[in-house]
Amino acid sequence: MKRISIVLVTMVLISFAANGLALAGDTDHKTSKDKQAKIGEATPLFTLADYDGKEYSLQDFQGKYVVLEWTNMDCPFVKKHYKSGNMQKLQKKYAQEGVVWLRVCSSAPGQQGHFEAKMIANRIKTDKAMAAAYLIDEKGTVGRIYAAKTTPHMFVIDPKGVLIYAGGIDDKPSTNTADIDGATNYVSQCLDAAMNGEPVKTKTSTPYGCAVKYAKK
Amino acid sequence: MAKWKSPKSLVSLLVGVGLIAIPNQEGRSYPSDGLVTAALVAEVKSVQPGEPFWVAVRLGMRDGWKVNWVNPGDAGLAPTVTWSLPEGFGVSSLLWPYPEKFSIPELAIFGYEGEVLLLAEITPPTSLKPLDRVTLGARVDWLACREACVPGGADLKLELSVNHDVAIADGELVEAFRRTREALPVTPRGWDFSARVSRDKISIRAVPPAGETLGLDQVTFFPIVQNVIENSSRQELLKKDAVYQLDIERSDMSMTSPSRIKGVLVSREGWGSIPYKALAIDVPVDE
Repeated sequence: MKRISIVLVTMVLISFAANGLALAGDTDHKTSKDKQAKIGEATPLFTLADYDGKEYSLQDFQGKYVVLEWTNMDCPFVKKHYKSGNMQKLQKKYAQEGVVWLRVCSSAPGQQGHFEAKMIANRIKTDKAMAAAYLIDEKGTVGRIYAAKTTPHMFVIDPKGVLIYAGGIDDKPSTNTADIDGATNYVSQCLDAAMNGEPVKTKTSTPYGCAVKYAKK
Repeated sequence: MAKWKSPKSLVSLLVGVGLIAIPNQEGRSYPSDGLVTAALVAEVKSVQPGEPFWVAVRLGMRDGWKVNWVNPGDAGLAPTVTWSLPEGFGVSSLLWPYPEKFSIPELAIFGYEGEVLLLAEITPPTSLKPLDRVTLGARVDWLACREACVPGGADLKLELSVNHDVAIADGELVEAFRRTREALPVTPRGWDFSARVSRDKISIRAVPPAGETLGLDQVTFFPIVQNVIENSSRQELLKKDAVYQLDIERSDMSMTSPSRIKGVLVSREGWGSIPYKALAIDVPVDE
């Protein structure tokens, strides 16, 4: 009897640990709806390591605005916003305003956008990317929680941990850098409004880009 | 077909060679980026003053590569066509054949493999003089995707003579137009469609015309705009008496409930006495 209870306690502890560790174990099934990030609700917490192995938890950024940018550096839509300097400009501007900008790559190993650490470091350097971190989500666990569909696909989380924007980076779906001027950038629109205590006008929009290269199940 | 080692090497190769022209059987060269060959084609060889005729932007995709439908699904971009026509010429909006649904992990893409013709009807002015020649132009931009996506585009031209007699295009082209028309969504006659929307589901009900006996097996709904349905989820066809109901999971991203359900319903077995596979529906949502 004693043995059984020890086993039970251990199992409970393991399951707690698993919950704390960013919803592992969900990879075999479509993420259940209650664990999905939803607009206007507290986002599920997650922990992911960057390409160098350093761990980042969403929890650590409570009290700050967080931007999640799904990325794949070889996708022409992502290139549009990096070659033009548009993404870096946003990353820099909002870093100065205390916003934590996290890039997340859900490309599975062997798929486009999945690179080795050294390559990622090089590309970040060449691109002069200014994000706080480049997180690796090669199992697609976090991507599935956010239902990240495209690269880029943008999410904004407020200081209380509530998801306040999910969607495209702007309103001009194309790979043409010339379309950036004159486009309405939904991420800056959302951040500027929220930081001024104003309501966010566009809370969701259609994300546009390449498909996120999720691992096959 | 040769297997590419990785999408990356393919992309860099294409960047290296730029846009190349691939000659077709007639010896004419059509622009191609190695993934998509594009042509502007007409169903007629000569046009008559004031008489509408059909043209198509014809896209031929390399094995495994796809271009998107007007609603690309979860990712990608629909091809765009910008016309440059002589003065006095009118052009209809593009007609899109029904798409296929391509499933990839977590997502679904709506589009075409192999070949697609995007049709448009052109109306020349009545002032057109016989023995004139007219040049039609179309700028087409597309995104071709397999694992990777590569944007492409071409400036297409087509020269036609003006004649009192209609000259039909070559058999192969006529056949391609015919096949495409078969795949265009048609307005269903005699059918009664309605739609209901609940918190997480859209249900499309279809009542066949009286006396119609048919066994629909697999029906897929393609909404004309994005963010209506969860593209990758399974669509369930139910049958009660003579009434069919297609249940589809709603998009997580739709903040407002749709007031109309507009799109294309595709049945692989067709629709009984309607000799087409795709129906165009646009119905108000029942309160």
